[in-house]
Amino acid sequence: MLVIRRRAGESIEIGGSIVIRVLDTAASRVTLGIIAPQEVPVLRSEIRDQNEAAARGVTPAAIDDLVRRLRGGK
Amino acid sequence: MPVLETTNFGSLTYEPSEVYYFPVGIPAFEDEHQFLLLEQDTTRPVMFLQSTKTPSLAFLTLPVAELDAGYAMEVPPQDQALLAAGEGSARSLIALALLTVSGQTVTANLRAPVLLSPGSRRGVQSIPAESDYSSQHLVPPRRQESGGR
Repeated sequence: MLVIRRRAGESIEIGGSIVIRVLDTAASRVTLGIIAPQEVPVLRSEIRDQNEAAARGVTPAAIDDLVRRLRGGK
Repeated sequence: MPVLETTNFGSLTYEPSEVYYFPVGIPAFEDEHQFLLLEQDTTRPVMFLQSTKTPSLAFLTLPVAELDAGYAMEVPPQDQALLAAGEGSARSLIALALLTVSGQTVTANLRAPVLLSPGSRRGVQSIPAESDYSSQHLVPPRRQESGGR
């Protein structure tokens, strides 16, 4: 992994068409501005992780259990 | 009519016109472009998104209104374009939260709902840049009715 130190207001370029600028820094959070071509998806990593978790473990038994719980045990 | 042998729902016969096309897939499943929305009386309000390409791939979902009656979001312009739903059609979109089951805990991603346009038969997982909704909204179990288990 390439590690680069940047301050607020500084940026990095990737591949000539993607720019990531550090807009603000706080104690535990960094605000980034991202310029990328429209065809390049920009995604918070946790969305991908959550989708993988959502798809994992979907089984007929899990579906039955979930439906029973959400329908009040009917 | 095509017949789909699924891992979780057995054999499904469907009309090609029922398929929702996801132009960019779903994050982590970018190669999955076609899903069926399965609604069954016996499982309502839970609905399922079943891939037509991968028999084992299905998502458990709940309509966002089931979790938050006042749910509202602004559909980003790029998602409006992907849905090809036309102007003023936002009200006709189906908004579904993907559910994650982990043991006895069920969470719903209200931050990034899957939007379906019944008119254009297109779908997208919409991920607003900013949102007050949680991506891990706790889904409480309904109370059992008296005389239940």
